[in-house]
Amino acid sequence: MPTQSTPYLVPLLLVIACLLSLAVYAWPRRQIPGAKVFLLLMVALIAWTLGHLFEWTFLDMSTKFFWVRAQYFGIVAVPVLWLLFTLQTTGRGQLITRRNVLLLLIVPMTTFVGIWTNAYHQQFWVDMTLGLINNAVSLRTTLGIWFWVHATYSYLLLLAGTYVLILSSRKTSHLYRQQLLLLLFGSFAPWVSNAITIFELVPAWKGLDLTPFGFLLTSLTMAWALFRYQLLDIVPIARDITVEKMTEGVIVLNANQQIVDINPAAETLLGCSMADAIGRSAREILAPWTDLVAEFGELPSAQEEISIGQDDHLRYYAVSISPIRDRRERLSGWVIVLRNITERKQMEDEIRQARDEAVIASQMKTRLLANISHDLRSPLGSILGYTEMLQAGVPGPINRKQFNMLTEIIDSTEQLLNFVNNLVEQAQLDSGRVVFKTREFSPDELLEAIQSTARALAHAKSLEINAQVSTDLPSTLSGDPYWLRQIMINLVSNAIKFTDQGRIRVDILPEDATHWAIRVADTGRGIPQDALEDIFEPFEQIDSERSENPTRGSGLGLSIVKQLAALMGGSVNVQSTLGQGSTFSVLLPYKAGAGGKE
Amino acid sequence: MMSSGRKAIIIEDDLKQAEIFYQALVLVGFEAEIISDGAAAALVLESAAPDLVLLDLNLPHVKGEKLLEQIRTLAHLKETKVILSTADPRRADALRETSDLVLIKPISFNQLCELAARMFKN
Repeated sequence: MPTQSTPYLVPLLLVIACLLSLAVYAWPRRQIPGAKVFLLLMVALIAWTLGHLFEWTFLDMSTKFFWVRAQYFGIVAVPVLWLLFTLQTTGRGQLITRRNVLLLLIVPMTTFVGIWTNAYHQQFWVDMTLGLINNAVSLRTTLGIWFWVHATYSYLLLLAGTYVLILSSRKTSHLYRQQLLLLLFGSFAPWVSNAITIFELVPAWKGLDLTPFGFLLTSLTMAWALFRYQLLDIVPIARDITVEKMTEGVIVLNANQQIVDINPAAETLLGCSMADAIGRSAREILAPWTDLVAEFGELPSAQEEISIGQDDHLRYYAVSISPIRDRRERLSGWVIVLRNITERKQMEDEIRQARDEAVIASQMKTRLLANISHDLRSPLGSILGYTEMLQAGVPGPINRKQFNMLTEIIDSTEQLLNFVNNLVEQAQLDSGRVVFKTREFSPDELLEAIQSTARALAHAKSLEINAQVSTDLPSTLSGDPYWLRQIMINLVSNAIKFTDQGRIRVDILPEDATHWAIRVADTGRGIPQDALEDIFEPFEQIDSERSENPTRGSGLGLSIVKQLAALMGGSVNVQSTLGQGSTFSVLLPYKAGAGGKE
Repeated sequence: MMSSGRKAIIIEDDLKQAEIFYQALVLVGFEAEIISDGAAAALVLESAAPDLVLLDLNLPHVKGEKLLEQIRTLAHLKETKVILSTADPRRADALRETSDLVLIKPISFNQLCELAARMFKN
């Protein structure tokens, strides 16, 4: 096939060489988002330029025409690929669906089919002739309607891509705006070169398709944006969708500790706009947060809680600083995430306050009970005393009926007094304020101390009461006689309450090698077997269903005995037979202080 | 009941309680007097020699503990029996050794009668 040499040969070869170099450069980096589209664009441009080169090289019409048509493999693809590239670069990759791509390819595919079948319809080229331009044989064509359809469509795609870049350059941060502006600048080159070609604006270049030259410039800017700035590495996609909307503030610093990105939440936190913050040193903007700066300066990563503002404007933030590393693990910056934890802190404060208030309330309750106990006991004591005096006939004789009535009053008053005593003891146990003052004491002392109370109670019901200390016991025991007396008083009162006739026996005796016992036995009503566990529960009393003769009381006495015994390191148990009586045993260790507070 | 000739001093600032104590001690044969102020009681005890002192620990001006100490140091009071009365059992516990009996308020009329009688049975 005959060929010719033209002055366009060298420039076209140079363009091809450049495009090929770019493709070779891009190939190992094809994993970078956008790089694959870029590669396809290079292939399309190379096809276009090569086709154009061969169009000029060969002399005969049919070969020239073949290469004119072959160029269109690249010509139809380039606008589409350009648009896809801009979409992907600016975080609109989700628009690149199979459907949308197919829609975009309708006109290009029609064009491609049309040019190869032009002979049958001549809608692309009406006719073609050979001519001379600058002493070179060139193919001259008369363009058909579909050429203009295709040209318009291609321009529209170019325009769309350019528009996408303009849109994104306005929204993005300063640093990346530069890169997008560069791309934008590069995107105008094909427009200019194509216009010059189509409208033959430069006579010296008449016949030469300058569009590949324009796209070469575009490709250079694209490569620069992709590989030098790694445009798509700093996730504009994530930024638009996620980071922009985050309630947490996100601040990105480069390796020089300059702010390169912040989201709206961070703008609010920093109190300055993105335009003001970008490019400035982190220390400059974050200066008010001295703790954060100190932490940040020393460590590559940190977690911290900081506060900003005062009074009503006081806010707490959890700060997380994480390093960003490139593919070679080199530190390329930091991401600072600020999470508003003011609410959590406020809740913690409220909980702390509530706890403090609860502690105070508990203390007040104890003080209140102490006061109430005196305020209740005193008048009750008066009621009891005067009633007993009446009954004893101090102001004058009384009749049987009056005596019985006074007995009722005395019983009720004693019950109430007992209840108050139990309440105070229970309150002390509840608040953990039972204090044991352990000392050595004689078991006889224990017995003597309760004898007067026990006798008085028993005498009132005409019950016999006997108390004995075993001679096998050591002469002294260790413990808190005050609380031991309370245990005995509660057991004895309980025994007397539930015994209508017979006797009460109190023994203090050894139980085994490690324990001694206080045992109170009565000849009372007894306790049903299914109630034996329940009677030690607070406020639990044998109800009318389980007892023929239910007796009212506070229901606290035995519960207090159990709690006290446990605190002393001991235990309580009961054996009982209905109708015959019960025996309560409190077992206590010889070594006092086990389980009790000192 | 006829007086046994025994004398009792009731040192108690709560007049209702004092009245109850008085009636109880009189019923069992005591000649009793009530002093409601600690300072006044201290003065009286310098010269009086009762058989029984019923002493409230919570008195105005002079505390019951001080009076008890006074009773235990004065020679003419060494035979005097002391019944302490208090609403604070812990306080009483500390004085158990130096008193003859400790009663926790409210003190029953009948109980006091019985105890006082038993104390001087022989």
